[in-house]
Amino acid sequence: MTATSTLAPAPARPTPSSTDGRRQALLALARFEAFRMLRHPLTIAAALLFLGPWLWGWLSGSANRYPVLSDELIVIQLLALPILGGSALIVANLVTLRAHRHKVDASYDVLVLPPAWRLGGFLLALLSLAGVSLLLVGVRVGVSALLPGAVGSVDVATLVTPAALVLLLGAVGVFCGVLIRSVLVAPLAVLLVLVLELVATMPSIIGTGWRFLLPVYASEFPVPVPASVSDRPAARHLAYLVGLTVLLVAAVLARAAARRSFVAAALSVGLILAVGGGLTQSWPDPGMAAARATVEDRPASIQSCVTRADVTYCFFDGFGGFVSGWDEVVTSVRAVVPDSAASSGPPLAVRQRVPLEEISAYQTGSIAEAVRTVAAWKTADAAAGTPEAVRVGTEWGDARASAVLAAGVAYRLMAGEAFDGGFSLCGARAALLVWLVGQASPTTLAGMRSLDETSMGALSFSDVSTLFGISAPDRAAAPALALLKRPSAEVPPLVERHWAELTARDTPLERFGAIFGVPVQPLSPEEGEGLCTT
Amino acid sequence: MHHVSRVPAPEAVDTSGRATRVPVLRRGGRARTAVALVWPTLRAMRIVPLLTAGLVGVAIVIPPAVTGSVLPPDTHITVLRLVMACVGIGVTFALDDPAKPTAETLPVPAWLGALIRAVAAAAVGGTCWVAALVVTRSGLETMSLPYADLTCEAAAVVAVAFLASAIGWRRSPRGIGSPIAVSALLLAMTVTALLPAPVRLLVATGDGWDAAHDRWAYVLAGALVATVGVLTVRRRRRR
Amino acid sequence: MTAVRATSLALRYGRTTALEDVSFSLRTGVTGLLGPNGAGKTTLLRIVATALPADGGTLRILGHDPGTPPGRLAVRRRLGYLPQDPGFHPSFTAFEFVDYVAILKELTHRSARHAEVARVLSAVGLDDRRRSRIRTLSGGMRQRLALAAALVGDPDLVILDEPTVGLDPEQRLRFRELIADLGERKTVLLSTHQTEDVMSLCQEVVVLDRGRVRFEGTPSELAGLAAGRVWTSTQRQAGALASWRTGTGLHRHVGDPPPGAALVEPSIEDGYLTLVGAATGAEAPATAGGAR
Repeated sequence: MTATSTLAPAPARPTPSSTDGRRQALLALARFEAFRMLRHPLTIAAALLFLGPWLWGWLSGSANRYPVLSDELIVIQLLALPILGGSALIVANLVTLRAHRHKVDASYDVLVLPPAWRLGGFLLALLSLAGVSLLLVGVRVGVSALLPGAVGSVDVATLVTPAALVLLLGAVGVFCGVLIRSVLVAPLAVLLVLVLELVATMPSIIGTGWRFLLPVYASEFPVPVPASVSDRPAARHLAYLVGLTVLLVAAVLARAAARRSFVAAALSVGLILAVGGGLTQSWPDPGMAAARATVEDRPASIQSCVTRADVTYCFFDGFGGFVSGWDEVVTSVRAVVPDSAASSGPPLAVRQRVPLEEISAYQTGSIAEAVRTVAAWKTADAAAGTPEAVRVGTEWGDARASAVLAAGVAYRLMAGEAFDGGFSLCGARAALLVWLVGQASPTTLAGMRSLDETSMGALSFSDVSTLFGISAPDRAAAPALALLKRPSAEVPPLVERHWAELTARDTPLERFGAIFGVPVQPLSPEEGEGLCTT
Repeated sequence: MHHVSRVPAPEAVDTSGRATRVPVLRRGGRARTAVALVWPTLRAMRIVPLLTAGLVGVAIVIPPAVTGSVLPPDTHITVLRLVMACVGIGVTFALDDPAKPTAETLPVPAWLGALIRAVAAAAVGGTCWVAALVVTRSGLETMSLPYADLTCEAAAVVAVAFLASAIGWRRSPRGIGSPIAVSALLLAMTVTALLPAPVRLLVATGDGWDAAHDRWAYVLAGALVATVGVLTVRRRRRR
Repeated sequence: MTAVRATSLALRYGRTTALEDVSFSLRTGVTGLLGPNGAGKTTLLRIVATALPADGGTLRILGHDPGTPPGRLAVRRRLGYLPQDPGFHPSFTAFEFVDYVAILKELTHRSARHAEVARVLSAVGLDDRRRSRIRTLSGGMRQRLALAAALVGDPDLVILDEPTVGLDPEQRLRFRELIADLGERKTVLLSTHQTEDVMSLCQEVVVLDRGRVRFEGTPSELAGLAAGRVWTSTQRQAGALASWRTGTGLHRHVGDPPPGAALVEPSIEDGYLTLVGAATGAEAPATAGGAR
């Protein structure tokens, strides 16, 4: 107060028409709240937590350079629901409860903008959170899609689903705030969302049509599958989620005594979307069974093939990005076998296979069954012009998958035919195979070590998508692993000289030990040699 | 106010103004004070959120038990972890104290009230946890779950929740720390879920189980020490 | 007897200086703490009430150093503090709340404590509402309840942060009676915006502005600062510090009077306005009558 103060006349107040003014006020409020929601610590923390592990993967070099985009989007929505959606739920709830928590609701209640419009502003502001989620998901998927090894395509509905989930949970947050005036409800709601997510991934739920009514989709297969056999009803599920959101909006507005006609309109739109989307998404697709049978039993009819050098690679639609990776492994294995063996048997071919039925139902089939399946595959391969094709799965990019393929290729080159499933390899052959895989490249060696850590009794070159993989008993793997520690110049000449003997079916493991001078564990009397493939 | 509001000296006049002798005000020792504090503190405490959250937690374990569905042990463990999270969320309300502006200059230290609240929260939360365990055990093939280790996890979660509550109480001038505390707890849980393999806490049964539960024990101890610190250490004077 | 002696107290929040070189002393009786919003009054009261440690300077309260835990405990046992924004447990009754605070003041003897609670509730005029839940009490009643909580246990030092906010005129008069009575035996530090409260209650006044003590003395000395600077006229005057039309139709002005102006007796408000309204941070604190 340094001079006398007088009351200046107030500037002329703009007097827009009532609805117009309200609409403008609503938009201004939504903008204001959107800004506050975006800079809320929880929103920022959620964005960091959503991107952090992914960024770390890139920085530490452990990120997969061969992502399957459709699968990545499944993982992203499973992450986005608790992290981005959960934060949106709590932030929206706190915003809704703000006036109550700070005891200013009494003064707000007499403001020009009625409660329903204020809540409308909060709900509109949620679009900003959804927008940020779309951006975050877009960044993750976009970076993946730009990789040369990326596989599959991005469906718009699956891309938008995480943002729709954020919108839905944000609306849940506002709804909780309107219904119960306690900050306790929102965190509990987040936990219930987690329960739903847990339910969505339970095998017993995945077999039923109910699972589509849950907010997130979990694939019934543990590995990526070709788009034609995926049962993800992305667009209809999106409609269902949007419908649920609109229903919540209608409930919030009804509670705040909004105009009846508006609530009724929202209610009917929401019902149509939610019920329509919800019901149609679980309708069985009549062509699905046939498509799955084709993918599993006669993939050649729908696959494309390319030839690199003298090797043919056949892959499902969209999986072409893997070929260069496969080719690297095939080339590296061929480089460590003698020249004569590098093109033994019919022309080398690699074919992508996915045993849908076996991996979906969590069945443990008998070995005899596996042998029958593989025999059928072999017949099909011969008919398709790629006899004795090496099998490869639908996942690629980690060292274990490289090791599994390397083992398949090594067996094919050693035996002149593709592995036919069944029992484990025995004798010198098993040890040689382990050595070849380890010798081929640092990646295959690392993958083999990783496989060794998680397998018991035998080193098993199989992951989920390549059932019927090759396995070598620990007794045979041990001398080969020891040999891999030797300087690399010594061993290859010996391998070349004794190739025929080492690859013969009946050469015992002791002979391997003798040739390379590595100790071989004596066979313990109670375990015996076990069942070996012939 | 109908009568003259003079302040009678305590030992001279009683409420009706008659000159009688009321017992001289005596200060009790800390033990007597603690005993006298128990009931009003329990009444002041927000036990309803904790009870609600605990009951929601128990409700989560009921469907698998009553439907008789055989879940893999790891799924039961995940479900029980959700129960812990529920109880933890309830515990973040334990230290909410709207009378903080009045109470903070009184001779009884804040930690004494907090201790009473901690015991009450542990009792209520513990009851809910035990109920969840009993329900889970009544299901099929759940006799051999590692209940002791899971209880250690639950104790750690509750300790972290109480720590969050203490930080919220400390940071909020009005003593309502739960909004901060709940958010902090949920963030901590998310970070826990995203921890990389070498320091992972949410492990499945198997190889890493024992090592992970050593880490859980450290979390529990760390949270307890930190809580004591938050409740007792005064803002440092800068010189 | 000097109950509180503060020398060069300082407090900073990050880069903001809340208090700087604050020195004053309090004796038995009522001392008013005046100052504009944001002057640091609440911060200073919280420091004297041991809720907040100062960054610098020395403080002795009732012969103890509140910087040490035993000293703080000793002070708190003889302290009554009414915060600016007291909170309550809404489900408690008025009696239960004061009883709870009494326990926190270590009054453990049940019947004596209940008698004491009844005494203070009666003193603030809440006798008939002692069984009412706090959520049913009006704002003024809650303010009186907080006062009762401050007074329970017969403290020797009573610190009141804007205690008359929300009280109606009658309640404010009753409150003045109560505080004046208390000031006969105890040391009371009262922060307020109400200059009438200061005039009618306080033996001493401290004026705080921008974290510094700008005045310490009696209320009449504070009013005296505006001597010769208050005048009336029939018109508004642009050059004055403050200028307003009073109920009599005359305009009253504070500032540098024009020649021949009709000077009038300054009030404590005029003194305060002269001091704070004209203040530029660089001026030395005005001290009157060697009160320090």
